[in-house]
Amino acid sequence: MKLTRIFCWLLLLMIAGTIEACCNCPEGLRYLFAIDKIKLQILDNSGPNPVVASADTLCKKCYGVLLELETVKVGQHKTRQPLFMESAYAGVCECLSSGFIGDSKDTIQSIQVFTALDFDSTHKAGADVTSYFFVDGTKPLPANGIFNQPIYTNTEEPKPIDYNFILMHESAYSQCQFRIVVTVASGKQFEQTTAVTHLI
Amino acid sequence: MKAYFLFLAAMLCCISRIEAQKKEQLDYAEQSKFILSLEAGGLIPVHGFSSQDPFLKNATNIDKGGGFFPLTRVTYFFSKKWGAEFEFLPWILKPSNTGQAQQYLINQYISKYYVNASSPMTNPDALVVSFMIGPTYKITSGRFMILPKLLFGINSYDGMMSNYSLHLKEKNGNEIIDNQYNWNQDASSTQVGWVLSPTCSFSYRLLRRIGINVSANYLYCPSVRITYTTTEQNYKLQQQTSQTYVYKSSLQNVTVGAGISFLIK
Repeated sequence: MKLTRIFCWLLLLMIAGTIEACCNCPEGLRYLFAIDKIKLQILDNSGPNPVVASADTLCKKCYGVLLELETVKVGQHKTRQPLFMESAYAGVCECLSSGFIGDSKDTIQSIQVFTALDFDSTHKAGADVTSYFFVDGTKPLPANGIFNQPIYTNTEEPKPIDYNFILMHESAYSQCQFRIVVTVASGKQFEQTTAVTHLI
Repeated sequence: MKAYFLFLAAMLCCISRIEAQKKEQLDYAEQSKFILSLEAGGLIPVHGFSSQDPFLKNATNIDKGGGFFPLTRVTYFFSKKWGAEFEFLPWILKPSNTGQAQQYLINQYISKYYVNASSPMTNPDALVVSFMIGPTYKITSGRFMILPKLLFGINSYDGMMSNYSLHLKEKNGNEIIDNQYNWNQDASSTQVGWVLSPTCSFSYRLLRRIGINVSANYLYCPSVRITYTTTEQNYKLQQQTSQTYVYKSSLQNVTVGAGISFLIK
């Protein structure tokens, strides 16, 4: 009976210690990011991985566009860490070391790609060629442009979010240029046009 | 004089006793109804897979040498000379040459594509288990015993091959292809085949019930069937194609082993 009491007291002390440790965590900060502007660069995909093209001439089958979404910090709010969230073992409660959580405010609703020059016999200048581009060369961009992807960053400071759009169809002509329109959930649109690239 | 006769009588008695024991021992070998043998040894391939497919040759280890332990034989003699034997023979084969198999696959594409090959899973030593039964004949001569037999049974092949995957990126182009090479060994990953094995065991009895023995098995597996499937995911065409390759061949191996045997009357 006496032994049971001792165990009960020890257990209570351990629980009290855990609660105390968990309650002592500093409040976290949740930063909110939004897309500020977009930047386009031409990709040369002739090698094992796409790289930013250094010349304005590319092989017809190696063309890609790097879409950079530049983000800005638009707000922050305090977050409270739930009790026992980090506790894997009784009596241990670790706090988040940095105390911040990156988060996004924006969702990319759609991305559309239009050809600025005549592309082939069926896609003249101004035509929608979104479906001709594949993300990282593997996943086609939806023909209707609906992308529905929240931007996410796990950094404290804003950083650009990159997408590699690889052109999977060859142009019938020796030059190409594309206009990319990004629409975010708030309805705001960002638009950029690539430089003219000579295709060989 | 009296002492001399007594000594002679004692010697005669001892000799006759030893002779009687010897006879009893010899009789014991003749009369023993059960023989339990445990052996370990090596497996020597005689005839491997007849397929000329270089990938198959390097990716499988079914026709490679190895070892076995513990070979277990239980023989029951229903007459003085004739008996039936059950044999349990687990073989462990040398691992396949995954590096060469992968290099062969890479070489198929290297001229047109940048190839990124994830390292294949280390091929576990294949375990082939044979269960065989058949008639045996006992020939005894002094402490020696010879047991020729003809065994027949099944082989169970398990876990012989590694799976491979290649990521291909077209040189001077945007095409990306993922290739998978997967072995299909039925749902349970185990295949069963027939085996015929003429075998001969030689035993020398050290003690009344215990002997040492060596044996040689010729294993003939008339039909070993292995298959693999290649799956190509072409991202440019947005299509996946699969093809299954089936290989059938016979295998011939010789096992040579040594161990101990127990005689039970």
